[in-house]
Amino acid sequence: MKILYKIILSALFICQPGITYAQLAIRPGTVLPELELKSSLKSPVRNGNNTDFPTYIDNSLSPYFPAIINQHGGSCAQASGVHYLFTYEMNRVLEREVASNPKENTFSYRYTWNFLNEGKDNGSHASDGVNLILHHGCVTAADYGDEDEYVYRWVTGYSKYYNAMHYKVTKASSVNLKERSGIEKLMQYMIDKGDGHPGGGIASFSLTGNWDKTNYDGPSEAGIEYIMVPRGSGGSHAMTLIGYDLSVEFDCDNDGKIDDDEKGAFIFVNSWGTWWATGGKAYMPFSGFTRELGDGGFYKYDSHAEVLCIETAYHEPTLTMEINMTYDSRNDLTLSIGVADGIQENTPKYAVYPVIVKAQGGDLRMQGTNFDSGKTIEMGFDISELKSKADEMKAPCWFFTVYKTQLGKNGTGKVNKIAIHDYSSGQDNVISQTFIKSNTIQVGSNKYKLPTKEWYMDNKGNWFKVVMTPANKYVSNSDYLKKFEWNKIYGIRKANGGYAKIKFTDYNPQTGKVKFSVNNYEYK
Amino acid sequence: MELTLEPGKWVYYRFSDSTVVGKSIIGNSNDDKEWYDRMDWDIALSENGIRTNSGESGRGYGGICYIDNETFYEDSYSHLSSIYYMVDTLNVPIVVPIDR
Repeated sequence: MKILYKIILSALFICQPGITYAQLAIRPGTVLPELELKSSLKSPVRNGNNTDFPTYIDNSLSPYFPAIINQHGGSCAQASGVHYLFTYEMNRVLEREVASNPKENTFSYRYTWNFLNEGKDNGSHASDGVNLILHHGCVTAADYGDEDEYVYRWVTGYSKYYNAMHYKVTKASSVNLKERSGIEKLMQYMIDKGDGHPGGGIASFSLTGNWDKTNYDGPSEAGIEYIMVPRGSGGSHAMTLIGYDLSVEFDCDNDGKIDDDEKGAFIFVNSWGTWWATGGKAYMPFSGFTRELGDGGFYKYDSHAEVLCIETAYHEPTLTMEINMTYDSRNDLTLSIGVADGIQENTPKYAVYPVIVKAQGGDLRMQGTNFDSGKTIEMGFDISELKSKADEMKAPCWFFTVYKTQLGKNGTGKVNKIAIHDYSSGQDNVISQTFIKSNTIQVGSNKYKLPTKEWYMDNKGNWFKVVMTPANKYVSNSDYLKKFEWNKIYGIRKANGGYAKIKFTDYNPQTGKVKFSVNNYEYK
Repeated sequence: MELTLEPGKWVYYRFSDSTVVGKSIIGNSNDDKEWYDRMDWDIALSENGIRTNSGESGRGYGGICYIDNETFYEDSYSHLSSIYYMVDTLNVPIVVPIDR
C-alpha cells in the first residue's frame, strides 16, 4: 500500500436535485491521512494586524481551473474529485492553462465513475476515484471521447491508458473543518500549497441530509449571491471548495445577530451547470462546518466535516503491460500482474492488482456498449513498481492472471493478447508478447505466462534452452535429425489439449524409418 | 511404434489411435495452410525436425517440451500440465539441454 489511510464515514453521493434520500455506499470510501501544510504563512487573523492573506480567494478564476459542468446522473463525487479537483491540481503542477487545449487539459470524470458505479446510475466516493487515479492515472477528456456514447463505457485503447499513466495522484489527505483550526488550515492551503507551483489548493466536500441554497445580499468581496442553508431537500451530494471570502456575514441560527463564528464562508463550485446560483458557485459558511446540526450546522457527525485534498505529479512509466481481451460480463473479472524468476514458476513472486478491473462495472460487456465489438477491450497497466524486482532476476517471467467469479450472468470470453512494454531506454521496447489462439476463461484462476528469456528450469532442476530452427529448410544430411532425435524424449501437448510423451529410439536415413515409444493420455 | 519419413515431406501423426494422418510438401504454402486448419494431427516429422499442431503450424492447442527418461516412464500425466510448452513459430522450437 502506498499510503496509510484512516476512515472517512460518509454516505454515497447521488447528487441530483430533488433527491431527498441518501443511498448507502456501494463501496466504502478510501481512508485518508490528515493534511500536512507546507506553507510557512502564518494563520490568518480576522480584523487583526496580520495582513499576509487576502480577504478572499477564488481559485476557480485560475487559468488552471476547468469549465463548470453539468454532471451526468449520479456522478457528482467524480465530477468534484476528478473534473474539478484533479484537473485543477494537475494543471497547477504542470503550470498548464486549461484554455490552451480544453479537452487535452481536462480529465474525464466519466472514466473513473464508470469503474465505480456498477454499470448503473449510482453514486460513488470522490476518494475512490482519487485512489483509482493514484494507481492508474487518469484518462483525459480528449481520450475518453464522446460522453454521450454509451453511458457506462470503459475506454479501449492501450495508448489512452498509457497516456493516462502520466497523470497521477501521489497523495490524498483530509482536513476536518469542525474546528476553527481546520478552517484556517484549509484557508492557508487555498492561498499557497507551499510546493513551488503557483496558487493554492482546493478540496472536495460533501453534504448529506437537508440543505439548500438561498439568496445572499450581505457583505461580499467575491460577488457570490447565494449561500447554503441547513434546511431543504438536498440529499447526498459532492461539491468542491475553491476559495473563501472573509467578508461574508450570515446569521445561520436566525437569532438576529452575527456572532464571530458566523463571519466568513468558503466558496464552492457545484456541477449542475453555470445556471445554478452565481455561475455555478455559492457560499458555504464556516459555521456550516463548525456548528452542530440544528444550530446552523450541516453535519450530524464530526467526521462528515472532513474534506478531500490531493497532491499530483507528472509520471513517466518505465514498464507497462498491455492486454487485449474479450468478455461479456465484466464484473466477473479481477486481474493481477506479477513476475517470477524463470518460467518453471507457477506463481509470481511479486504482483500488483489493478483496481480498475476488480469485479466491478456491472454485468456488461467489457466496453459497456451493446454491440458485440464492445466485448473486446484493450487496456494498459502501469507496472513500473515491478521493474526493479524483474531487473534483479535471471530470467523474469511475467504473469497475467484473470480471476473469474460469476456475478449475475455467466460471462464468456478469452484473453487475446498480452505484451510488456519497457520504456526505460526512452523508447517503447516490447520485450514479450503472446497471442492466445483459443482459451475460454474459466471460473477461478486463469494464468498466462510471458517468459522473457529463452531458457528455463524444469522441476528436476535441469536447465534447457529453446533453439529456434527453420521449419521449412530442407536438410539432406540426416546428422541433423540424429542430433536432436537420438535419445531425446519430448513432452507433447496435443491438438486437443491432451498430453503425450514420445521417445525416439532409432532412425535409418536410408529407409526413412523412425522408431519411437509413446505414452498417450486422453485427459487434459 | 514406427513410421517412414520421405525426403522433403512432413509426415503427420495422431497419438490417440497411433495413426499417420497424411503428408505434405515442406515449404508448400498451400499444404501448410490446409494442415494449419486441421485438428486431426498432433505432430509432424521430417528430416528437418518436429512440428506440433500449434502456433504458426496449426490452430490446435499443441506444444512441445523436453522431458527426461524418468519422466517418460512415470505412470502419470498430471505433471505434464505444469510444464511450459513452446508453440510453433515460423521456426520450429527445439528444446535442448544446456549446462547449468
